[in-house]
Amino acid sequence: MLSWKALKTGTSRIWLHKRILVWLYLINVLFAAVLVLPFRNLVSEISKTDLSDDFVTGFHLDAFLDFWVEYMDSFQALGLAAVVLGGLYLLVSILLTGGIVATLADASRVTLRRFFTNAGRYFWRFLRVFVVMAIVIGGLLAANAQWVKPYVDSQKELVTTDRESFYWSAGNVGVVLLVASLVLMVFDYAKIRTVVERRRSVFFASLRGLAFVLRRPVRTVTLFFMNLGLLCAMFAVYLLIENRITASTLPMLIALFLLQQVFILGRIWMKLSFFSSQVALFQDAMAVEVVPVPQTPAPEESIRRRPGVAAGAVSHQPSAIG
Amino acid sequence: MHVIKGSRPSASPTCLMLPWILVFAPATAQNTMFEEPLSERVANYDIDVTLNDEAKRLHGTVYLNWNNPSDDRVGELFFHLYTNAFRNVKSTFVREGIIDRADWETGEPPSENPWRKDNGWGGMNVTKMTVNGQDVTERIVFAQPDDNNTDDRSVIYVPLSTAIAPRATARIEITYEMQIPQCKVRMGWWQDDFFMMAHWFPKIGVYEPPGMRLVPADAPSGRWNCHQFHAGTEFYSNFGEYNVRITLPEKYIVGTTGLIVEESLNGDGTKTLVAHAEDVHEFAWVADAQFLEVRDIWRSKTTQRTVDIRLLYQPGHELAADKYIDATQRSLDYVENWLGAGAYPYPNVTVVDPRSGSGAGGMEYPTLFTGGAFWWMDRLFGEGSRITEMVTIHEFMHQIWYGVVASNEFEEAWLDEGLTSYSDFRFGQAFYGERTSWVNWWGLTASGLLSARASYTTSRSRSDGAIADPSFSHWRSGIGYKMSYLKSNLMLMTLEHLLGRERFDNIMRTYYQRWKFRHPTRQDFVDVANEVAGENLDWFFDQLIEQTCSLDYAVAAIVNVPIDELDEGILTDALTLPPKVEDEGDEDGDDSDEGDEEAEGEEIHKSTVVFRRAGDMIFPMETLVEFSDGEILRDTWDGRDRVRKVTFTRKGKVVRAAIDPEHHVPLDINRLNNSLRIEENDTVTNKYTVKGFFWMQSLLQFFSLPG
Ligand SMILES: [Zn+2]
Repeated sequence: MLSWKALKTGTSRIWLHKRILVWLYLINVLFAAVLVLPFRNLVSEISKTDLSDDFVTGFHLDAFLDFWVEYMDSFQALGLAAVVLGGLYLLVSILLTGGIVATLADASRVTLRRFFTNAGRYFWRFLRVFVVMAIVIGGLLAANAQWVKPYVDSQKELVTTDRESFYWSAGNVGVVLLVASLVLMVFDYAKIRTVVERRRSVFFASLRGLAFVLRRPVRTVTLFFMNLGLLCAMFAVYLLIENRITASTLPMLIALFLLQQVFILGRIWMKLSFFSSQVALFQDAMAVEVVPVPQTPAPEESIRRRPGVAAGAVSHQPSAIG
Repeated sequence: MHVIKGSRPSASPTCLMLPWILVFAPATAQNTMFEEPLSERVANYDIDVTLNDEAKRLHGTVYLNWNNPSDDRVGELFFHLYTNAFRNVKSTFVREGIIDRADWETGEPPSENPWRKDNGWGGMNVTKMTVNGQDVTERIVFAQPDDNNTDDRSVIYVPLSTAIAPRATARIEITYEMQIPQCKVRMGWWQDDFFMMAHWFPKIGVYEPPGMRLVPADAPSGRWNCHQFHAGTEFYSNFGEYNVRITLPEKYIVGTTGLIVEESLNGDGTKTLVAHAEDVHEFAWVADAQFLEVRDIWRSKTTQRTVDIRLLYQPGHELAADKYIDATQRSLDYVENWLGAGAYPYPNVTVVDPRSGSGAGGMEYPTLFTGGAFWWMDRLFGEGSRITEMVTIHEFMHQIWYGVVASNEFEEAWLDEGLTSYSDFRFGQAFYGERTSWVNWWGLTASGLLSARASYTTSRSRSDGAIADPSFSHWRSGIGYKMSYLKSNLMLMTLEHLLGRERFDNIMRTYYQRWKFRHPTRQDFVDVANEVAGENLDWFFDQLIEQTCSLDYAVAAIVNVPIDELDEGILTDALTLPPKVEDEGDEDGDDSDEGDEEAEGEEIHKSTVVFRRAGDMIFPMETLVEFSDGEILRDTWDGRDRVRKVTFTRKGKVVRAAIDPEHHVPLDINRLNNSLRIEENDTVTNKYTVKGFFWMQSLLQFFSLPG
């Protein structure tokens, strides 16, 4: 299956399971709502003063300085709360990923109950995947700090313009981001294998994830960057529109709010798109189909195998290897 | 510092020795910049040096004509050997720098210590010195007038066997060699082929005769003013004439103070250039093998006089080059209108965009200054960021406040940095918009006020020193920075609003015209201000310059109570402001009627507004009270008491109160408490609640990335 076709199949799968888009959005809203009131209270402190006039159409840093100085502690407390909340949200995301992957690997409609049954089933495994991934990315960053960065710094001392120096720094950051993205991608396939092949060993699933990518480097990487490109394009479009909305009147504010919510939905869609298209690619490549998960927990080995296909099961979808 | 005294004269004429002035082939004779000297040319240098770029060494000879400016017999000489600040970690400069970088909360030494590496040290060594032909080399001793750090070698002291007669000219010849340090602060080499050469020759101190600056007029004699090189201070020297001959490899493109009047190839891979400058008190030069060059011209709109602008810039900085040139031209225009025709008196200016990472940027020398530009910033922000322009304006304005009006930067740094910071703030607003002079990018705006207030208002140490304190006397040089650059700039902005721009500009113009090519003190500035303003401003300057006051006024409370709920006995205490000034309704009949109808429908309230003086500085403040019917009352409070309570009994409520409503007092360290409204600005609350919610949603999605 070509990468673009995997993307297309993935997109139609999300459309089929659009209710999880709504669930994920609601969870995001629920979490974000926790800090809305404290944040609003903080903002209202400036709204009671004439300095607020400097924030009606733009954001004037001269005026913000006074606000920042006076409420530095509140800003810090809010920041800390946001990080804690973010950590919790990460845990919830790890929980949900089990449901997401299992749903997207399945052609039948998902129910809330089945979604969370799957989420719960894979939670501990995905938590372990996350730990392994964190170790790998931590190692990557450490290796960069230990060996690559000193080399880059030594090269920066040799170049005689800040343009070249910038290229070295940007190149270093770019390479780290690229490798980190590929690591994320490999672990996406690890999660997919865990679900589709009902694997219990996270370590083994991770290796199999890597093996899958190494056997199809062009298709997997192309697909990953097609998704990433879409995400970036979405960001760019959002920023371009957002910049034109000053939100100084109520209709404008509503327009801004709607735009932002569409953007958040878009981000969640993209998160699903990564999984969905990668699942499609994987299933097609391995000719695997997961048996719809029964209402009661099924034994882990409930995977049908098509005779003659080593790792796969019978697929009722046409298999277009390419 | 130690007071270093000269002695009273006796009649001993200085003998004329060695006709060395003839030995030094002068470019002087045929190159006269000004028909009449603009300054008292006390220290006149002819210097002949050779740069060995591979060894990072400079050697040469200084021929100094020093005109004794006093009626004293001067029996000793003092010189700065600034380069010795970079000799080792024991110099006062480096020691202060390390202590400055320490973490003052934990007591930990600095994590980043640029001096830790044992490389790039430099130093200056005087191998021979004669004064009027007498060899005084053996008499040279290092002096530490400020801190008794005997390891510091940034000042030398030379007792003479024959004193220099009053008003006589001493002819001093100094042979010296210099190991150029790696450029970490302002001067030195970078990447093998960039040399920022400031403080590159032995520089005589300033002999201050009685009556000059802080030396009392009735003092028995004058004294030398020759401070050590400190981490947080700059420089001070006499005006003079310079003829400088520099020999260096051909590959270098060179910029200098003054004019390059001659350049010739020597046939051995080196070239020699001769530069000439008049009525300057410092001479710097810069050599870079990769400089690109742009020349432009500025023409005065009033006198048609021209100034040649030469920009030496780095490859890749083409966008910045336009910014440098444009900001310099605009500044030349503005300063001419502000301080008078010919305020920038020299025929040329050299703008230097130094090598990236060299630490040589953002520094002023007479007729030459270094700026700062970032390739990526110009590409990303374009004109949305004005850092290059603002640094250019700042360093250009040092040509006035430092270059021409040459205050003592060791002792009264605010007289150059404060006035220059005020100038760049003001010019920036005129050139790039009142609210957008620093940043104007995607709805984000910032003016120079942000940079002036930011680290002053946030600093806990802002009252640890006074503007009057010498920069090197603070327990940390950052305090000197706050005093010299920030508080004094805010002081001048506030003074401008207090007096009005016209009176304020008259002060600045008079101060400039009276003190150009001289060395004023803060009292000289205050005297001019009092004289030109026509009122005694000592109350203002005493609090701000001599004392450690900070200014903070606030609206403490607005209380509206319906009259029915109040006892009549309390009402008799009510104070009422005269109902005057602005009534916006009067100008618009319809609105006024509506307002009145609303007011008629409203209850009578007893309203109280409380203004508070939260800081220790006393300053007259404008107050404003706005009522629900739109009426606005303005008043001025002398600001003396800690609290001022104003009470009104009338229909409607007080909906808004403000102190300094137009932000005319930038010195106020907290402007958030300067106003209060009984109803929130819902537009802002809603807008940022919506934005905050979205930021949180986005942050959460970011956190979920690895999930
Ligand atoms: Zn400055």
